Amino acid sequence: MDKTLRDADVLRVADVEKTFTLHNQGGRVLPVIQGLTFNLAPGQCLALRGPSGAGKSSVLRMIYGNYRTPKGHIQVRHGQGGDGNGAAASWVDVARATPQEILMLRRDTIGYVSQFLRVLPRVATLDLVKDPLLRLGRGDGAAEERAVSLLSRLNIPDRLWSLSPVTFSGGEQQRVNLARGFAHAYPLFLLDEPTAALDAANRRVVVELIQEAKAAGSAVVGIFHDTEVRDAVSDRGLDIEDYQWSGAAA
Amino acid sequence: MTAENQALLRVRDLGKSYGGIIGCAEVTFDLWPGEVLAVVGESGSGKTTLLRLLHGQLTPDRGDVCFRDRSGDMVDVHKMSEPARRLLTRTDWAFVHQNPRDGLRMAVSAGGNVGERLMAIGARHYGQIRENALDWLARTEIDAARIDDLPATFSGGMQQRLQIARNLVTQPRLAFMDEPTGGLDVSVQARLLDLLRGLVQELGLAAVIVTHDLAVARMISHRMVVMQRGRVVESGLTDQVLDDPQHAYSQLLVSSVLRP
Repeated sequence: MDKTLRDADVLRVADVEKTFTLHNQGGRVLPVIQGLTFNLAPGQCLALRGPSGAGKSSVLRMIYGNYRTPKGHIQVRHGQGGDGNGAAASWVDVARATPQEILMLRRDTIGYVSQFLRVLPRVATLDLVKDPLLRLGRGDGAAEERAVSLLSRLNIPDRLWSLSPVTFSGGEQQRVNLARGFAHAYPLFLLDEPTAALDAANRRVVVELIQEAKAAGSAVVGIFHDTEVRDAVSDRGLDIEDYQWSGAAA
Repeated sequence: MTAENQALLRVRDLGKSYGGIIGCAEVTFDLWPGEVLAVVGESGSGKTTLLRLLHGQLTPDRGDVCFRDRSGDMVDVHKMSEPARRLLTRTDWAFVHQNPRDGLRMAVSAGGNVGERLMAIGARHYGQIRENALDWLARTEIDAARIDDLPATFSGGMQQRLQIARNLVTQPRLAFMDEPTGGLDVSVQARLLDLLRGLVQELGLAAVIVTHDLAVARMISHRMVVMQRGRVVESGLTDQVLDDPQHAYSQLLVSSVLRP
């Protein structure tokens, strides 16, 4: 961990480069991005823009540590000082972090909501939403209260809460995923098309959740295909195509 | 530094050959308390050899395996006395076989199978042993009414859950599992996996799980090593290895999975 970065940012991405090498398809190299650089402060929302396949989701996955970052730095500020355990903030470079550090970041600092719920068989919806809070050591009562409030706001009928979302519709699964994703006030949210399968009423709820998180100091990096949602939540945009692979090293 | 920040198992340059054939070579990793490590690879890749070397059932040609005991000391698994190692396998360690028949005593009742491990570490009070056995049958979702039945009368999934109860009753800190869901129907697998996941989380158990099933690995493990011809060709966070595999063999494994 690097303790020398002292400013108020939550995320500092510097000169990030990514390619995929397909060893079983003749070693073909798929270029993704090069020279990606941006900073993000608390309460800010950055919208990643660009056509499908430009690498927007790959960027979110690299910040989450789901994809490897072969070159560049992704510094995430971990620990707010005021989180109750008195730990001073430090910086973790996701590009070089150990698996243990990345798991710690995912528990405390980075929330990731994708379009799809990876469903675990047999786990009840309510428990799925409570889980991130219980992992943080919150009491069962507080976790349940938060989970009930989110599921209600996202219009998941309470008769479904005790069921596994395996058989839910796509939209219901996405809303369960959102409830789980927003259960904890992560300092950094990564949102990959959070409203893709939602109707207008539920889209409005998600916009409110994002605005509330920002007001509480969370930073957001998002991909929003819905321009209405994007305009309502984002403070600035970043065109991924500006960082397309040019072939030569930057 | 607290125990939480120290490796529970430290493996360095572990190797074993059978004649001229490599069983396992140059394996090095640390396992942390509460961490689940999946070892994946196809048949013959050295997964089970590695597991047996870690557990002390096989003696390595080179390298060492050290375990942090309850007093915080690192002990070399292959240099300790046989009685000391056997005590470890009965108390702080669990070993779950693919075939429950290899891990259960088939001529002893379900309750006896669970109670036996307690008696092996000195429990003598019959009522308490039975109560403990009942508790573990419940935690592994086996009907209390079956406590006096022989495991042979159980289904495969129940036998596997009984093997897990028998292993976890002594509250081990480290479990070794060899294809724990291997011989089970898919519907039974899901139940066992969910149970294992819950128990691992609840008990803060560390585990090394050998599996050829990448979906099992994704669901239950934090970290993964990919083995090919006895060597670790890739390691990392489980979702990272599965979603962005770097090595040609890992890419082949991931792309060969059929998704329903």
